[in-house]
Amino acid sequence: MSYNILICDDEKDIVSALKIYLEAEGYRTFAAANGREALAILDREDIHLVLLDIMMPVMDGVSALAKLREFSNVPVILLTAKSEDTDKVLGLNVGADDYVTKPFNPVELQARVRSQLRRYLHLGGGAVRESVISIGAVTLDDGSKTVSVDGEPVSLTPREYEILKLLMQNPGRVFHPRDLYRKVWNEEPYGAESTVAVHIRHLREKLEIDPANPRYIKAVWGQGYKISEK
Amino acid sequence: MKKLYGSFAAKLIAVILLCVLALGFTLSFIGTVQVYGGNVFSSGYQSFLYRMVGNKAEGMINEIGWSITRGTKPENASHYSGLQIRVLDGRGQELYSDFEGAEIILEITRSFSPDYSLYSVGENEYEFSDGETTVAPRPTFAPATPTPSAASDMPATEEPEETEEVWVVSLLPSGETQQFPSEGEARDWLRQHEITVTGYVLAEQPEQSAFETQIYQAQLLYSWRHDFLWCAILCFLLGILVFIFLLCAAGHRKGTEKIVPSYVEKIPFDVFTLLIIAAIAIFMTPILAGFDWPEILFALIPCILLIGLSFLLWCLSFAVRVKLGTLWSGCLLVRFFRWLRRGVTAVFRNLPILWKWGLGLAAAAFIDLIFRMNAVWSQNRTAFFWLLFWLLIAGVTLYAVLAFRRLRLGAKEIASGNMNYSIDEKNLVLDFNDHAHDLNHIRDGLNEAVEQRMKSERFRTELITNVSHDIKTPLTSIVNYVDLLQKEEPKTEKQQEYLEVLSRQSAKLKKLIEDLIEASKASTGNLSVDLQPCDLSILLDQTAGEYGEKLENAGLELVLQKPETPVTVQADGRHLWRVFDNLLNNIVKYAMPGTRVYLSLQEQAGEARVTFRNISREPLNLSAQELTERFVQGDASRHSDGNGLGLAIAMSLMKLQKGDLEIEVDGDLFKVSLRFPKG
Repeated sequence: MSYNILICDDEKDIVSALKIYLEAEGYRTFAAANGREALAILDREDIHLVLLDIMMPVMDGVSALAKLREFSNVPVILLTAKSEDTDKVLGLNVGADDYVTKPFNPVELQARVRSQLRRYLHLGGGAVRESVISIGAVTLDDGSKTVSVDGEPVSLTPREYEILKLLMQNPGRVFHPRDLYRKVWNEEPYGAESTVAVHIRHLREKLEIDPANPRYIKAVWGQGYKISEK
Repeated sequence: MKKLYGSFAAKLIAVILLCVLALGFTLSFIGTVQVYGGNVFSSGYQSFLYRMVGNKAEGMINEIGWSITRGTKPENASHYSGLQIRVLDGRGQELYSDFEGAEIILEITRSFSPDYSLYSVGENEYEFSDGETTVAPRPTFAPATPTPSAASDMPATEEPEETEEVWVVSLLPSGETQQFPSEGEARDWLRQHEITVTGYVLAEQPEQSAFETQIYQAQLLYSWRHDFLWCAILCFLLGILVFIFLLCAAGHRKGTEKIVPSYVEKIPFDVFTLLIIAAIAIFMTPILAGFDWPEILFALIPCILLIGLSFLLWCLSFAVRVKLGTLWSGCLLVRFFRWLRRGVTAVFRNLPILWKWGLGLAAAAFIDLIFRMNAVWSQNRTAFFWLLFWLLIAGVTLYAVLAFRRLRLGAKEIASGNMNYSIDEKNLVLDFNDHAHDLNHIRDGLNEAVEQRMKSERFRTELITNVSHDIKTPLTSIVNYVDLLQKEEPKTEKQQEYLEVLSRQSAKLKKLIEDLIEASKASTGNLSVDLQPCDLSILLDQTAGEYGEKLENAGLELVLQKPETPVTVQADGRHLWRVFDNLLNNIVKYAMPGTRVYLSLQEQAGEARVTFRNISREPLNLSAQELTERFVQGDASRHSDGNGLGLAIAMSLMKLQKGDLEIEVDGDLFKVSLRFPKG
């Protein structure tokens, strides 16, 4: 099945490049040069995902997104040159599902598109079992001892799995590396706290699309680690 | 009315009218005083007539009285028609009378004593009837020869007695002489020789009588008495009106709304006033010199008119000056004092402050000296003034101290960066005021400079951010198409090589732009900083975990040195991580492979310190300061990765978190210390 992706950017070259990448993945693409065109196409076509630039003439991305959210909950990934935190927060608050800052890595973009489509189309209303914990795209099934991201299984070492389980059981709570070590290794961490940091890094590399900008497993610098969405 | 103000003719008429009114007022006022002076309404016409007629009648009676005492027979004395007389002697016996008991308007009685001389032999003092007393040479009586000198011109000294006094009276015209043993008896005898003359002015005067004119005048004036009063009041009120009109009109000219000064106003007011006073004084002299009727009419009226006109001139000039507002400034004296004050102030102001205080102190010392010297001579009186003087000195000193305090506080506020603080210049004088003014000026200048700088910083940040955003869009295309090209097959080896360069350089450009934005934001403080407790020892562990592998790949060995106890500081974790990230990135790039990298944490008095130490691969030929300056890299490292912004960003971020970053270069040892203040 091919999915319809709407690419909305006023820069033609970027639109063409995105088309090439996405069509190589087997998606059908539609192009719009501004927010108004994008809304028109959304109205006409059955679109499964929108890539939306923020700074555009006629109607900018944030206004278009606000309009779009009035009638559709199609996944929207913001493309933005602005990298300030406030801009990201604004975009996410208005209703975006993800954002990519320009200049973006094409591979990363492809991964994010895949992730959003999977979640939107396959994991919409999965039955929640007792032993299953989900945070964002990350799902941990304690029964089968498996972890998946956007439905794709991920293989973890037992320590990594234990750390992830502990974090996911307490979303938002900041764990001191020493506490993590005590609970996972079951021994006193005589100067071995940096081991925890190494495991966290590995975990991030396996779960996150962009490990340098993690969405889930976050370091609270000088305090510890936590898991949270956004 | 406004038109009349400007008309010269109207003013001239008003002046003449005023003169006439003044004259009318003066005359009617004199008339009123004449008539009313006798209090006509209470004692009536009789009293007034008495004053009008009495003078003349009295003169006549005197003339008659005197001529009788000098020996004229009463019946031969002068007679006047309309006046009848009765003469009595000292004993009350009638000597003569032609009074027939007719109706009279006036009765005047006068007594006359004859000319006499009275003296006592013992006292040798003479008294004459005119009251004159003279001391005569004492008659010499020789005890051996008691015979008096025949040449004695004192007829009363026939019987000189040593012990008994003899009073001698002689009446002059007749030469009748009497002797008495005492003065009282002599005076009694004299009184018997007095005569009393009573004059009666008849009510019905005969034709051609001596009192005809007086009675006529009296009747006339009396019948006019109300007219005089009304005339005086009318003249006075009208005069006031005309005077007010002149005051209002003064200074107005035809064809202009403005007040025009005349030549008179060119004269300074005080000089002008003196001139007017002098003029009035000159015109007063003839009045004071005194004139008899009727010359007085010819002297008095012009004089009074001239005095009045002078006074009017003064009043009008006064009015014009008040309207012009030059009354005080026009005074020579005021001008002089102002000039003097300005001069003194200018001299005093321009004196150097040292001279000012020196002179002030010298003056104070001098006054004090005078008081002390004075105190030697007099006691209590000066002590009070001395106290006052010292209170004054204390007041001045206190004022100076308070003023200085105000300046000091203001300067302190401004120095500490309170740019809204304004030093109150009120109540400050001389140098204090100048100083306050200067300080406020400095504050304004600083304010402006700071604002200017903030503005330019903000502008720069915005420029960098906006330009960077605009660069990002084309860069996105470059990155994407380079990537697409790399996927195109087949490629020659060279194509492959070139594409790799493009890919590497575009990635570098991307990093550069991101760093640039961050650097500009961090250096202008355009980032939100959320200071929270942060355990540095945890951060070191986290860093080791993140960077362990990278360092190993670069052939570096990380050595962590930290205390067992947590070291908590106030910091923003994200920014702090960015600092660590940048520093370790630099170490990975520039450290000599095969060496150790020391990352140590110490807690010292009042601060926590994290030190990064590594051995540089290339010789470091730049100073520590140059290294932190943006875009500066070791020359030898120019060709390698990195853009030199890392250190600058780290420095700015540390400053934002109230910490500090220090760089030390010692040969190839490169050392960065992060300092966090504690508590």
